[in-house]
Amino acid sequence: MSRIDPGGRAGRRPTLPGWLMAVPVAVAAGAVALGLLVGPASSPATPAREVRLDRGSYACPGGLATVAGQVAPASEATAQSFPAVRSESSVPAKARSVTQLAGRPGTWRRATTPAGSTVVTQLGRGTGPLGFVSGRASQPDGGGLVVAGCPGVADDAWFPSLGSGSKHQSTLLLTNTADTPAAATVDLWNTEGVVDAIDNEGIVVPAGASRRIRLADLAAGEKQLAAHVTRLRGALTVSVLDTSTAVYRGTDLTMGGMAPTRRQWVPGLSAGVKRRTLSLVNPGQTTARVKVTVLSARGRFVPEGLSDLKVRSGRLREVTLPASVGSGAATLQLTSDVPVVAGVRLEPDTVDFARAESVPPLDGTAGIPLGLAGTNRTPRLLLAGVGAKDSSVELTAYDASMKRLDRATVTVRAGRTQDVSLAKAVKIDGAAYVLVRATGDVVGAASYTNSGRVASLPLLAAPVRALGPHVSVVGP
Amino acid sequence: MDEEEPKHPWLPSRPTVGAVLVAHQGGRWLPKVLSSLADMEYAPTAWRVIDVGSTDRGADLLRDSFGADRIMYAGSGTGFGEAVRMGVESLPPTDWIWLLHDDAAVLPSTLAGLLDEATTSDDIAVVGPKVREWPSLKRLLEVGLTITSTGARETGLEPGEPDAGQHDWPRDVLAVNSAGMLIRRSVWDELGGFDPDLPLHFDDIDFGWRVARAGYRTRTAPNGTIFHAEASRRRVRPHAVGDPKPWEARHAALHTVLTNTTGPRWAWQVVRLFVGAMARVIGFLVAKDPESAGDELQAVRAVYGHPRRILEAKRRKALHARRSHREIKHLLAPFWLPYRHGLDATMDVVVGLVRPETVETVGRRSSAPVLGSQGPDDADDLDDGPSLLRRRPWLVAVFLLLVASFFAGRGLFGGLDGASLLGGALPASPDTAGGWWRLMVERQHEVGLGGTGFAPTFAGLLAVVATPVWFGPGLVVTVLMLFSVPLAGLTAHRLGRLLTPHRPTRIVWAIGYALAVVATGAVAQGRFGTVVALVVLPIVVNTALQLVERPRWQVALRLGIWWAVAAAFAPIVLPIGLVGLLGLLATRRVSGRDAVITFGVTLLLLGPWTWQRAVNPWRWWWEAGYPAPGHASVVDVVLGRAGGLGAAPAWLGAVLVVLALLALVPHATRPAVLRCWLVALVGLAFALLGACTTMSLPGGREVVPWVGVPVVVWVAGLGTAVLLAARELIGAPRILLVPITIVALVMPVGTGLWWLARGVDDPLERARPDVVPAFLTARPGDVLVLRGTIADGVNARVVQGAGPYLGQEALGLPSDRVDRVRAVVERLLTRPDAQDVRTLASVGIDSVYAPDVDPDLEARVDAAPLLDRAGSDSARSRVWTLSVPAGRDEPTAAPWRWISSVVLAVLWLAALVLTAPVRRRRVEPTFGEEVDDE
Repeated sequence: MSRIDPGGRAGRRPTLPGWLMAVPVAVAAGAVALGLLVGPASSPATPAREVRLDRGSYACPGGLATVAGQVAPASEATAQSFPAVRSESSVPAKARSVTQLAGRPGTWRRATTPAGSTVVTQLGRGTGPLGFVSGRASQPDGGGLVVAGCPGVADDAWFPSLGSGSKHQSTLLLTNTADTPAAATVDLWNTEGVVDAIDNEGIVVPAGASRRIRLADLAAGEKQLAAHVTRLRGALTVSVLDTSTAVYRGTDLTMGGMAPTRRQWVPGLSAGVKRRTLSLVNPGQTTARVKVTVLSARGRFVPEGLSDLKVRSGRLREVTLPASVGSGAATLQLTSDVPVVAGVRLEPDTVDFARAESVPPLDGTAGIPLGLAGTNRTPRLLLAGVGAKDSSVELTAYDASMKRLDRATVTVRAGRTQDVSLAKAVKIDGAAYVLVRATGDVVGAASYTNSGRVASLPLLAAPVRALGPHVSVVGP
Repeated sequence: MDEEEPKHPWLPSRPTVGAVLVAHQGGRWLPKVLSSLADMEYAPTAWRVIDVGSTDRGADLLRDSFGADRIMYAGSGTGFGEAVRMGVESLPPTDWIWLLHDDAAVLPSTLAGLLDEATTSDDIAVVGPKVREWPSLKRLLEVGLTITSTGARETGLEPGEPDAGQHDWPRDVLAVNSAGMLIRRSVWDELGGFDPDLPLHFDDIDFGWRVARAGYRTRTAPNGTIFHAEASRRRVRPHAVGDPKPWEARHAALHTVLTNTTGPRWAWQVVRLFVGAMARVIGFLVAKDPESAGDELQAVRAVYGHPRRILEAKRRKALHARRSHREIKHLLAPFWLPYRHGLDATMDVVVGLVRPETVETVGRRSSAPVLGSQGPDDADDLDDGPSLLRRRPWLVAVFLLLVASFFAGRGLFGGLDGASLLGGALPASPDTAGGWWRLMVERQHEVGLGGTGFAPTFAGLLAVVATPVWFGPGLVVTVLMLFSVPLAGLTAHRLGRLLTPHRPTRIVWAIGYALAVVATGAVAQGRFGTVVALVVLPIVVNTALQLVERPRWQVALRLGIWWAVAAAFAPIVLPIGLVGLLGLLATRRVSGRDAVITFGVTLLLLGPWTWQRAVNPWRWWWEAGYPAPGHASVVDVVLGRAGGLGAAPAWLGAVLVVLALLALVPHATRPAVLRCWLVALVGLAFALLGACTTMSLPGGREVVPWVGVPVVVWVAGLGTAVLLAARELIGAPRILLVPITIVALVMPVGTGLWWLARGVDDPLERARPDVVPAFLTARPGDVLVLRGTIADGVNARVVQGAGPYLGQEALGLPSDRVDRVRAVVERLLTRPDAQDVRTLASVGIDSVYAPDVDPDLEARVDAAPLLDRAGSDSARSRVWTLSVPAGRDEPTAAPWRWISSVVLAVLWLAALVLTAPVRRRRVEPTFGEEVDDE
């Protein structure tokens, strides 16, 4: 093997022009310039994205009239009644099927469920399962009107206005929808600070069972309490039954409000309510300064004394809304420098009270059941435009077989609360529910009344989509 | 001759010795032989010379030396044994018979030394001398003989072993060479002399075996020495009509074994030797030695075609047998010896086949000294000469690189039981080489989700290389990774021989290339594919240059093989090489035929696993090992770095760029320098392309490719440009030479110091596979490993056992299962449901492991039904186990899937065989063509 002749092939010495030496340099420089122009690649970001859910489940407290529905027909539905257990070591009885709520996934079903908790599961992509309970509590439980949504599994839940005193009792309703034990921790605050509770950590709910935890068992004698339930493990749903036997008596069932945030809205302050009490919880480490803006039917204003509410760190504060707020329908807009939790207790008279929870702007479709047991047939709808522009809200009435009966569009002006009579807005004869879709930033609640008793149902979008991670299956 | 005068106890009653000298075409050696016989201090009593059809001057020499009355003539074709028989029968009765060859010279004391040993005991029937090589005189040929169970003649000596007295003690052996053999006459008569069926070969071993079976002893007598030219065995004796054919040597071996083996072993030997012979035929054909294969078949036919002859000879020999096989077993070769010889021969063949260029040696024997001109023990003292560094600077450089590799790889040798070199892109090695073999042939791969795809071609290559170290295949990976610098240096230096005759610059260039491999960060990041490809790349270029210089289809084939080897480990070598091949084709430096052969062979040898990559060409960037993303910036690429951990400081590469620009200046070398720049630009273009794009991986993941290979192509092109231009500096004034030399050494020296200081660990490490905790590997199902966060994306990997080993990571997974798992994990981490967990169980998963858990991810998995929290191996990891049993419905591939691996193996074997040169037997010179080297 001969060596490579550095000057070219043996026998000839090609003479190359001098400018040729610039060619590779120019090509290299061009390539580098192009590379710099394009820039080095980076692995594309894979942020979490919304995915359409193809199944969903929720747990409805038992012993009440229950409505199971969805925003679009589902393909399959099951309903099982999970028994209530007294302690974590109890062996729950076998779950029973609630046939009235199972099957017929293309309809809205109604049934009065057994005690314990009823777990409804629906299959079908983007069907948005919805569940509601309603009824009147017994006199020992306050005798109030109860209308609430059925909660799904959540990481945590916040309840700003509870109690564990002799005449104000709140009870946590925990349901484990899975086949493995679930556990949760409950943190409590009162107006003095963090409550040193007993047995509040690692509360276990056996698989396929529900459990009631009286706050009095964790921290007795507290007239005013705020609670934060954190799911430690397992599939756990949380709601609270709040009863009062004091002068202002009544009952309410709630799924809780928003997690601590700097900007939030509390809709559903219905007209004619005598007393409205704002509850604020500051779980943070610094004092919060909260500004309360009222969105009334005539516009937005900041009532005197509510422009700078101080909520000390780790404390609950309750503020009775002044008369300057007015007696008409309203929505509160709260802004604060540190995240807080907010809710309003509505006491129209001494017979019953209701709770208005903070909600995010409606992003999707919310359902309003009609003809709930123990209520007037038609609720009022309190809508507030929380964006910079006017919004429109589409109301569509359906019968129980999900056949559309009527549709109407309501314009909601920015910065105002609009009290809409559903009966007037859409034809509701034969309707079983109304779906609410908003274009623009709108918050709202449905207000149910009956003989002086009141209940508020916040407008929450049916779970059609959820934020899911981008998943890649890498090799073996 | 410096032999000491021995004392001869037999002198008072001198035994009579009849000498028989058999000659055949021995004129070349007889003058020295006859001269040595004339100088013996104790001469035989009687002489007989048998001339077997000599047509050279040998007959005249014998007649002049012994006289006509002592010479007998035998016709052509008369065997050695028959000739001896003729001589012995014509001898007067003597106590001993001494057999001599015409190509074996003696010392004056040879016969006396033999008699010293022969007379020590009455049961000694045969005595043989120490046989040294003629003409080298110093090397031992034989000190006694035996035979292996496969019929191989065994001396027990190393090839070319010098005689330093290490075998100078008498001992019992099975046989001795017939050259110089002293035989008790009575025993000769009793046994009937040599077997008439063995005309030339193995007659001595057969006779010795029969002597042993008859209850006599055969002894070596180191005090008696002869010098044997082995003219017949080496085929240097002029050919004459009637001479035994080459195949008769093998025939004699088979005949000897089958006629002397007794008892049940005989039937076993009949079968074993036949099967062994067929295996040898295949081996010879694979090694392209058809003549030897033909000889083997001829020998088998001669033996197995005449069973009656074998049985008759066996019966005849058994008549005199008085000792059992067990009593003489210690004289035969140990059972394992044939296998060691087989391994040695295989290694020789493999080394010969993979050697990139023909290496000619002078053989093991020198022809310089001849008998009489130099005494047997007159060894010349060689002058030590210049130092080893001056005589063998490259050898010293390689040694230093090896030592440096040990230092740089500190902490990566040894380790715990079960530890393996892993980390970064490098998975662990399998427990045995069988893992890689199994990967090639199994229908269903033992990986998470049950892969059924084609196995990667590089796994087959690793299986072959790792087979000799069956229980430690990690050794192959360790050697390639930790000794990549000396290995790349070796291949680069061999290429450098073609580029420049100037040794110092060539060595610096080769070391520079070798260090460029480690400077990219490839070793520290566990880029096994890059490392292997860069070690092989100089061989590819070397072979390509050979093809340009000597356009032959065998060279094109060889280029295709080496190209396939490099591309198997780093598929990006395929498109880069294709650009180079098209360039050579466009400039008409290779023919279209050779280009087609090269590319076609490469594609064929890469096999279906690589073809699948063609569906998604961007996956050419995915090399052997995990597809860990690259981190190269444009500046990194220009300065010869591929980015990430373990890359050398980039400024070191700036020196090379400057020198490469200066290399364009000298006018004389500019054409070659421009060609090097062209190669470098190809590398640069590929590197920039890779650094500025992303590749899509199976499962939906996109990563920035690792560009180590094209970066080194860029660096090597620039370095070669500097190398070629450097010759213009020879003779330059010192004031110019010194600073340029210093600058040129900055990169290799700086990189070398950085290499030694940093080492090559991190993330590379030696550890046990830790893809999943050990306690999870014992569970019956697979483990779903979740990494990442809900906010930025989650990577899910389904792991079986301790995790994938090198090769398994490249397997394609069933797309339906991948889609199923992706969908179910998305649901699990969004709104979990019992059905999701059951789906996981249905694909064999029974636990979930999050090694560095994201709190949000933890909360979501916690919400899933049918999942139980379990203890984890660290505070930051979480483990969940499924409450439902894992399913076992593994996917299966088509039954013919393994055939593709077999076809691939056959293709590789065929390519290797075709590229090897055909072995031709040396043509024996006929009388008149003989070259007398005296």
